[in-house]
Amino acid sequence: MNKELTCIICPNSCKLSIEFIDGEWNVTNARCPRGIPFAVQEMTNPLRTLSSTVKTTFPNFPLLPVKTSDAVPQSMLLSIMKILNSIEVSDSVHVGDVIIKNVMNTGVDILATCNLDNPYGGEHREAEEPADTNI
Amino acid sequence: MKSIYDVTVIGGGPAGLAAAKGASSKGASVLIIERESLLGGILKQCIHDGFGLHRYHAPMTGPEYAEKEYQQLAPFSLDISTQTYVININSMNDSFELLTTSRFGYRTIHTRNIILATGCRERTAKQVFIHGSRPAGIFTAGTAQYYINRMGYLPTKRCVILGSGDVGLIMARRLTLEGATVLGVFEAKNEPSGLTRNLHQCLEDFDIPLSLSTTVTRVFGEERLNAVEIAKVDSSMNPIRGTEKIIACDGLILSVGLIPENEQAELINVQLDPSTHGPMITQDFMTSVPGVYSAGNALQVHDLVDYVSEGAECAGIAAAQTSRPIPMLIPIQKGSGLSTLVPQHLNINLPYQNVISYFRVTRTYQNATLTIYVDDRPILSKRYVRVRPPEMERLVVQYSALSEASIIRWTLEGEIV
Repeated sequence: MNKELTCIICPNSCKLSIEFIDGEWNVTNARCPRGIPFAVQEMTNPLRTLSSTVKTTFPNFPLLPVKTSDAVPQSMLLSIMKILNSIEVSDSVHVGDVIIKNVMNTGVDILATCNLDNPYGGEHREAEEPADTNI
Repeated sequence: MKSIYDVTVIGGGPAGLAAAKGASSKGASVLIIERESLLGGILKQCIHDGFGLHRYHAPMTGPEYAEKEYQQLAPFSLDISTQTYVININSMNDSFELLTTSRFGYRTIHTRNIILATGCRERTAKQVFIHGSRPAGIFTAGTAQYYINRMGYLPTKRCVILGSGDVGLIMARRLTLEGATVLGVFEAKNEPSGLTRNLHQCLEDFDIPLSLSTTVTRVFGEERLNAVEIAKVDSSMNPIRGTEKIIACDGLILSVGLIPENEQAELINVQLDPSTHGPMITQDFMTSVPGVYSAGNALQVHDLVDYVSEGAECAGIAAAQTSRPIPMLIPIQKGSGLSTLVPQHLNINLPYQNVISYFRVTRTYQNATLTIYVDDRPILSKRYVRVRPPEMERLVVQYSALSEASIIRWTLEGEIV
């Protein structure tokens, strides 16, 4: 079976053609060698990083954005989503903190991608003191 | 609060943060005015990966990038006003008076320079002429993204997406991951607007069909959307009679383009470029009004935040200069093959040895050559294997020996795909 795939390694966007012949993946139309491992990985076990959110107990910041620390098999994305949608974070976590260790035995962790403690510096009121010129 | 600031940055998204950093690093007194309660702009809801590859040489999510940009401000003492909106600007002699509104009421702020970093807005259903009733369930992609990523609401269970811009593609994936069914993405143009990577990882990964030369022509439903009508369009984008189909759904997500927001720029008659919908600028990011600078998506819609930050930082550094030479402008002419070109002018009384320039092409070309001419003499020629309208190109240009009579012209020629 011949499969067409657009290479996403660089902006050239080669239209790769992949065929399984005699126990080997045969990749054609790649203008550079980097397209070949990409195509084989895509055909055998495509990997993706996953970004999502988990619930928090903070009323002003109801969702914590998270991501996987590395790519996981694409086929596992929906199962990992189920886990993420079942948990709740109540600690003031920071960017990079581990929220779930070794999710589904992938060896990959779920990391916070935002501070719950004063996100983006929090609200800024200091410049709101009564000004010299009120109208 | 200072009686007068050197630089006031309107907008606290990625452009505003980088502009504030640039200006502060040159010793200017800086105020950031942000209308939301938190800084970070749209990055707060862009939880997906892929930001920062150029600026930080590592892939990050939007929130991580925003946090990193905020932390760049740590060494500086600057003022930040959140939940504050600029409602009027008056030009004075060598300075500006901003009228703002906030929780504390109206206030006037004096500043020597302004950086407009107000971002862009999404086109809405009204701007794309969809007929029918006005039921709930029709969202711009950014609004749907806000509901899902910031509030935790799933705004639709079965939806169609109109427009194949990157935000629409990313929302197709996001909605699917959160359990909604995306019935299809419809694009009126004959080629997709989004990046190839997003077509692959957001649509193909989840078997979401993409239909080109197809648009949504009507919406149905009383209180809530219950169906949309789609139709094929001809080459001039008019729906073709007899190709209509009804699709039952409870959501229509619009990803039909972004328009720079220049409400504040228009208050002081900043000259806008009809092709970018943003201000015309010189190489220091100054607009047609001396002391007013523009950066980020208010200047032109970018597809990479890294370039937003880079340009905004330059704008901040320029706005912090205490003396400004009298402008002597020469236009940079946009020749065949180019749809946008920024900066639009060079000020030859400023340095022009390293001019960061950005352009987009009118259509997809392969084996293309970009040539820059000064007085019909080519000074730079660059080959592109493939250039596409959705991908903004960046180029640093070394101009030399320009005079007020010089004519600069950029053209792009290549094979049409």
